[in-house]
Amino acid sequence: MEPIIEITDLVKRYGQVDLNAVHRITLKVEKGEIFGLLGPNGAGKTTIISILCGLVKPSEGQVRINGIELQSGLQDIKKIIGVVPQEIALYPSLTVKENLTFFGKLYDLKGLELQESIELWLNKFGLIDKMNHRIETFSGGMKRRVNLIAGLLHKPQILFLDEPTVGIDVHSRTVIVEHLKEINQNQGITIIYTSHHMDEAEYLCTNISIIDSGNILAGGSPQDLLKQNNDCNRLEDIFLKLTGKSLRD
Amino acid sequence: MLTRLFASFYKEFLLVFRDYAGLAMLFIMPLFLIVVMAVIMDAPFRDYQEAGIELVLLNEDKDTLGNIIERGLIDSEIFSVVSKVGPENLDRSSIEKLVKDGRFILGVVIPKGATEFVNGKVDAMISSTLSQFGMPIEPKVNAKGVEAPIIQIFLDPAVKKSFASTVTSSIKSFTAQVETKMIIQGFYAQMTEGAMGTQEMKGGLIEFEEIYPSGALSKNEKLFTNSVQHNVPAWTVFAMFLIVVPLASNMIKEREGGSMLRLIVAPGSHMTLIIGKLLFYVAICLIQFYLMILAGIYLMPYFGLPALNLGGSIAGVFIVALMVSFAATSLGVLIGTMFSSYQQASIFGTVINVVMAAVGGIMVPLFAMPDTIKFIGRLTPLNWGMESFNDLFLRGYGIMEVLPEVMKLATFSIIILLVAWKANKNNLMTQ
Repeated sequence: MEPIIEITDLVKRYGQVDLNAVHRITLKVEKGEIFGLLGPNGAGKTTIISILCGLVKPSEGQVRINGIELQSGLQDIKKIIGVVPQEIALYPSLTVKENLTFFGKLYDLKGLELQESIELWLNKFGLIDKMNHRIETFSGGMKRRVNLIAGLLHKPQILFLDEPTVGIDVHSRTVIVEHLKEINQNQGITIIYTSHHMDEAEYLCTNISIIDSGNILAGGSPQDLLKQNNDCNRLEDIFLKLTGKSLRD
Repeated sequence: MLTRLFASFYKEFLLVFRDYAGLAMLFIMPLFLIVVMAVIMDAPFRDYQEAGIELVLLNEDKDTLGNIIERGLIDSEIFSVVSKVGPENLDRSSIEKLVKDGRFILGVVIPKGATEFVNGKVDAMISSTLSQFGMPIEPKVNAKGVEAPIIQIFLDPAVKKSFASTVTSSIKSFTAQVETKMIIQGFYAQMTEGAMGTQEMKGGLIEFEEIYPSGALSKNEKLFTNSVQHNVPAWTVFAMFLIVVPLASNMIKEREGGSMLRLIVAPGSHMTLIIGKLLFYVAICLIQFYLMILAGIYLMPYFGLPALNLGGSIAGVFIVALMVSFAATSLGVLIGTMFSSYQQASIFGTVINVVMAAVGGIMVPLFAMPDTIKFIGRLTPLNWGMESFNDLFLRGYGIMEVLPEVMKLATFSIIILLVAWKANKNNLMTQ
């Protein structure tokens, strides 16, 4: 398998603080993977995703996405990635269709192609009959689903998901997780995913990196990680074993 | 690029037109502002002739001087002269009381014998003058021993000193006219033995003409400043600059809500989307402008004010309005980029606008300010906008004459946008 993302010695420092948000991280993500970045609050997950999306400039290190160097080829990389931020990054007073039309046009989608893409995803996520409803009238779970669709409209090769199921009910969470799996399997979209839900990550991810304080503590498939940690029955046990049980800010 | 630009424009359109309270703020409040400002600022802008100030007069003289002053006050149309208040006859103390109680801001008492005294003085002066030329004549009236009459002017303590001076000067002017007339008529009477003595002498020797230098248009039309001509364009510029608050808030809301993040991670320049937003708000500003202009033309007469006169250059008006809109929205983009919270942006946006309006001559004419403030005021875009409209609306100028101010507005907008672009870039890449 060829790597679609290659990160080498990545460092991110904020200001003059000695403590790095990301400290010499090296990792590879294979094409077609669902890759989980797991870690407690402040571990550096969002920083890594922000660097990969071109939102944050790395202090040191190299990042290549689909063979393109991040700094010099950012515009090309932006065309092949989709981003689903932790926040509900939608306009509340606009309808689902208006929101998705706007975000689709940012990727130069238009006309029938855009219309079909919107309808396809709304059908998949059970929101086709809510197409003309305003986002502000939706439940948290419905907003999360639209938030996800907005990142998928332009058929990205890589989808970055920053805690896509945070704060929603079990039903919406299940729908999202199942669809992510289906998108990955049927369309071959590589998914980079951060979460606090260990069970969800164990079920969804083909590969995982557990990070804390900007360092990778462990990596591999959930099955491999469980094999390497005989004393743990679940991914959550491994996570707690590696990151400790102390409270994080 | 165009798809993204139009998408951004249309998105802003939807966002603004879905927010009814915001719409009212954008369109109704500015209209309300200019109507209120034009109405309340009307009095200081009207000259005394238009104001028709009520004056209570007691003419005890009832002779030439008293009658001429009374006639002069009435004919001047500066004052609405009242000679009777209630059933009782007026006297000196009742006039003082009427002014003291605030029922009148002005009271004038012309004392008995004023004409007789002036006649005596004039007669004595003519006699003395002619004696020096070997033409001794006896004065007809003996002014010796006649007490000099004092014309009393009662003024409400609340009136401005400048107003008091104007009234006193007017009455002094009438008195001087009467004295001059009496002297000339007296000389004529003595020199021609009465042949010209009764001939009416009208007006002074020197005539005055008021000239307001202005463009070609004013040859056919009088473009005088009045409350509407000054306040509508001035407060319109102020209201247009208030766009900085909703625009900056919109940008901050987008950033806080996370949708800005989607805009940044999308391919293409983020500036395209900002320009789409900017163009939409420029359009909003232009709609605001024309609504306020229409209010100036059609609504003001309902409040007893004159209709706004746009001058002769419709194209000039559009270009100035466009550049003011551009400057205002550029400032909004900068504030939206620099500040991290809605509270900061709204307070800063409002305060900077009020300060620029204050020093820029929107609230108080620039000529009445100290030199330092004048200098600063002339560096504000609100002043450039207002001066351009004054050139067009009051001075009857055309596009060429307003071009320097238009260029200043354009340069300001471009510099502000470049600063915003740089700040935005730094915000993104230094995270």
